[in-house]
Amino acid sequence: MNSENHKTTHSKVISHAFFTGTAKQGSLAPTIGLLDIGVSEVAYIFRVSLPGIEKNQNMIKCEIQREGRVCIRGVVPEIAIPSDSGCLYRMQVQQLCPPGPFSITFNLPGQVDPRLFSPKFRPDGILEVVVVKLGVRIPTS
Amino acid sequence: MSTSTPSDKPGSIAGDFPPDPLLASGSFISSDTTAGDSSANRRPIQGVTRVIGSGQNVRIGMPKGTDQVHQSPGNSAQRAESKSRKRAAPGDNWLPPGWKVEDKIRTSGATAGSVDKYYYEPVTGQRFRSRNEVLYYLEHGTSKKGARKAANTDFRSDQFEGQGSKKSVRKAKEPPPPPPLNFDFESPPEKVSWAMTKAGEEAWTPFIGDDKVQDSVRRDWVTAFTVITTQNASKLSF
Repeated sequence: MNSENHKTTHSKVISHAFFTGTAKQGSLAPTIGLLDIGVSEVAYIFRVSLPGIEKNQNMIKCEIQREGRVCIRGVVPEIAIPSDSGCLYRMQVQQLCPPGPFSITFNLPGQVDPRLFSPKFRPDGILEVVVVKLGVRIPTS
Repeated sequence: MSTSTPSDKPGSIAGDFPPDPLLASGSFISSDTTAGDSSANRRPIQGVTRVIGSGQNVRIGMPKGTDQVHQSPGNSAQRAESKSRKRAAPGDNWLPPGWKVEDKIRTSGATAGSVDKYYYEPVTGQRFRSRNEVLYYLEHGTSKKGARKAANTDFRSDQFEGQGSKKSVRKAKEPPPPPPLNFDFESPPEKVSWAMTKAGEEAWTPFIGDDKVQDSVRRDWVTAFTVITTQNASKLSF
């Protein structure tokens, strides 16, 4: 009963995004790349979950096209616990995204001005970006 | 001529422009259009009266040289008055920040006890003896000491002084206009790559192609973004 409910809510989620690399290897849902897209009169906002991506160690790139296409690239870091002991672990459960490069690509609902782009990478691993719609002007009086 | 121009160029707003370019062409064909000529004659006059009307005291002095004689005594009388008893000036909030004011009391002579106010320029320390001098300096960037010395004999310089200070008073009251926004809304690039740099502070650097966008350009973008997202922007489609 419960699991069925879960399944129905899951099936309602429309996948807007296209994943490559480790971002698509998480088993339950992609733990990297959960996506919100919002819209206001002048701008779009999108929020992407990027857990485990440390901003100071891994270059995050966000490519944005006038047509509204967004491509986020990055690298999932290796396990942080040092392997000094020489112990190697073979993963038996792997729900998090394994280390390695990834990309997340999706389309915003409309065209944007790729210059008017204001990103914020929060310390909790959510990337929030506001980007202004194409054709928005400052009113000239 | 003027009626055919807008239809020749659909979408042009030539009718809204001051008719200078049209005047030039109109004067070529002045032989057959007298109406164009009369309007050409009227225009500059209107312009002059408008300019004059805005500067009340200067009104008479500007266009006719003879009136300057009447104008200058009034101004010098004003200055004489300011020397003696305009001491109760209503604060110095017109003075730009950084300027120093000194009240000097005369210690000798027949006018001992009266106070002179001096203004000091913050950088050079140059001294000015009146608000008018300061305002003239602020507007023109130079003091007009030479003109001042000759003021008693040369009414023309006096006239100009009155004009200049009038203007600058008006200027000082207006808030400084915001810097013009250097942003071309019409031509956004096809694609911009934003890279989060490794600096400790979160900083994103835009690239167009492989070229890093200049910091000054980036600042213009940020300004445009801020203006759009904080003010009421109008949405126009291309």
